[in-house]
Amino acid sequence: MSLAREFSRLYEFREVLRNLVSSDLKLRFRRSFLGYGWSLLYPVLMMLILAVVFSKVSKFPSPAKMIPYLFAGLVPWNFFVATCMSGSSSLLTNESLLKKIYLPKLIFPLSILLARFVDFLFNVLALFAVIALISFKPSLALLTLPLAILILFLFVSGVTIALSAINVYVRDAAHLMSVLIQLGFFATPIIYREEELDARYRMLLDFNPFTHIVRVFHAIISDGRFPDVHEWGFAALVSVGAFIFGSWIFTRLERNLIFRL
Amino acid sequence: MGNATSHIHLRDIGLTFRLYANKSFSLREMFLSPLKSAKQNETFAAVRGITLNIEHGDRVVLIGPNGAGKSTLLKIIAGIYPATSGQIELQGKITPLIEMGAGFNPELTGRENIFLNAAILGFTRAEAEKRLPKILEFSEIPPDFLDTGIKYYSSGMMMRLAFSVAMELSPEILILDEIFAAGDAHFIEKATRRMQEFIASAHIMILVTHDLKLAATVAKRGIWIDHGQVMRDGPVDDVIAAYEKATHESDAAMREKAAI
Repeated sequence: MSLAREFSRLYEFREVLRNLVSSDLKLRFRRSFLGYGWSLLYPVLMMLILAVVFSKVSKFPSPAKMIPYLFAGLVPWNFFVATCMSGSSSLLTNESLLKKIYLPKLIFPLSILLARFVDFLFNVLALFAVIALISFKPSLALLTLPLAILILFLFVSGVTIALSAINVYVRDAAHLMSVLIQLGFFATPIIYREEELDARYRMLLDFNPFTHIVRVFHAIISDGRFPDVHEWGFAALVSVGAFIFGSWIFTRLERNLIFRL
Repeated sequence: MGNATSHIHLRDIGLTFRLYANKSFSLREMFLSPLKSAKQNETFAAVRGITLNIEHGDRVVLIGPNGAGKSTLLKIIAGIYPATSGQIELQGKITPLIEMGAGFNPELTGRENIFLNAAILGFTRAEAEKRLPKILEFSEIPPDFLDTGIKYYSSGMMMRLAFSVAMELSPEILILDEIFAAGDAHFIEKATRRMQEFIASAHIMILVTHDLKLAATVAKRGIWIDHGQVMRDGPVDDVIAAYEKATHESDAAMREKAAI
């Protein structure tokens, strides 16, 4: 089945997708006093804690520089991890539904992706709120943030879609993924700057696809400059590549997936 | 919405399951599999070369013993299972009621589940909104329960709600798999009546049941399936008679064998 057909099916069932996304978001804060308020308050509080801790332990010259840098990397990373972790098991958790009714299978990883993306947008808001507390010099480069977000979104969707299908066939995938994510966190310049690394190790960073994406966010948010052509190029390459690869894997595995649930 | 007519044409449909010990292979098995590939290829042909034409207006019942392939065939028609051989040509929107409330999320409220389930069955939000009063009235859910999580519902309430949502559809191809499981006598009676209207408005109805009396009342055409093949296809009474006769004969043969 081609991807185009998969997407047209998805359009037919858009109402289901909308329902799944909204119930995912609604259920988390249900019966809490602040409700949706938490989706902004939670990241703000987490970031404040991290900001205080890191400004005490980091080798960074000043908190005013360190904090935007830290969150410019951490917020995209957290979006990636949260989506991967629940997205990879999304087909397995909906097994009973998939066996009783026809629904485009893409709907399940996609609903997770969209719900986590909404969380991510709140996190971005929180990020600007926190760095505004410290010192914030708005720059024109921020106008390119939507493009960086699009690149991140494509990358995360490719990986999640692929994992959701692979995980049905090879259940080790989810476990392997959590190990790789832990490794990935330290292999991505998030809590350290690239300059702090030995030249030997710094080269290795280039092999981590997420490094290229994070560099773009660092440039825009913490350096306040436009990413250069190389930075855009590599980030776009990595993300479009992940998206094409993920969709290809998914369409290949999708057909007989029902027999493996 | 809206094909003028519906039909289902099956050409030599087959479905062979591969039997997996635990359904997924772990990495270990992937590396070891060349060593024991012969063992992995155990298969089971659930449906073997079924050719059927189901036309607009047909009211079909599939009968046959357990494990004959009836439900598998329904799932192929509903698009849940891909057939491993043959072709399906299908026109019409399928409403499968293979299990009541399949799409319910216990954490969501009754109202939210109505919208979710309606969406799964192909309604837009606006269409669901319009039918909400009728759904509520028919399901007899107390209004103060509507905004309560359905995990607090009794199984009867849950079933009534699922049934009422499903019945508010205008089905083209209606697929039913043994659904009267829960609910009190009063509701079952009411549901049976509603069900007949529901079936009457469908372009095509296909039912799988072991209840031969029910089969004879709601269907006009009977298809007897055994070992994944069509044994007999024709007017429902003839097919049921043939099926019952065969079942009695094989029972008698069994008893004879046991006696000896």
